Amino acid sequence: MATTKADRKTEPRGRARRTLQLDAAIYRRAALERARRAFGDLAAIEITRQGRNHVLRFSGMRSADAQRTVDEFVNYALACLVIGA
Amino acid sequence: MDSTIEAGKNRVRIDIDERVYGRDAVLASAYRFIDRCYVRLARAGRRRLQVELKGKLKLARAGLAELADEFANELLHQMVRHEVAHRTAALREVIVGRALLSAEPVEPADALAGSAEEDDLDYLDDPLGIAVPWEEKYGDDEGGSKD
Repeated sequence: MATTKADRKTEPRGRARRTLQLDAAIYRRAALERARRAFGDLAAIEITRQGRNHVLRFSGMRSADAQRTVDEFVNYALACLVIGA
Repeated sequence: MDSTIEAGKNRVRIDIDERVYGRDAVLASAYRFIDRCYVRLARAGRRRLQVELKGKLKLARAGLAELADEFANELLHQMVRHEVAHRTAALREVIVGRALLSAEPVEPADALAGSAEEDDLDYLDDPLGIAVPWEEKYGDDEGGSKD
């Protein structure tokens, strides 16, 4: 299952980082890129490929909303997948 | 299809056999839950998918179980939709094809001939007599009654 990890190093106070892994056989890169553009104001998101997974590194998120931002990002990516982004 | 409830984490995990439920049906079903849940998908072994539904609001164990049941129903619904769409694809193509053919514009040559005649007219010309006053056309007989 996809995992999310909190990562507090080198992030300014009140801001948070998260790392998320999503299966590349399910989540297409185009859908993730579209979601990244949509969430550009909420977080800086770096997407890399590691084996069978996409690794997404979120940074610059408000600490209070960090987990919700990541969760909503995954929902949005799913919507992009379904509509064929 | 197996489901595992993790009440402490407010989520339920559902394992699905892709040989029974196609991936399109799984994706479409998962999409239907994004208003209520945070949804994540992963592979759970060969030809198996795992769907994780995490409630946006706090749910009791019964609520999570209900979510899993609803997901199973939605999967079936999407399977039927997919099957019907597949079976009626050819018919839909015929209907759309006919609709497009019947909506074809008039032949360009005819259209040009018509517009050429109209081009000879001045804006003051009135070939249909539209600008002729009623009295001039039909006399002064008010109401059109003839005694």
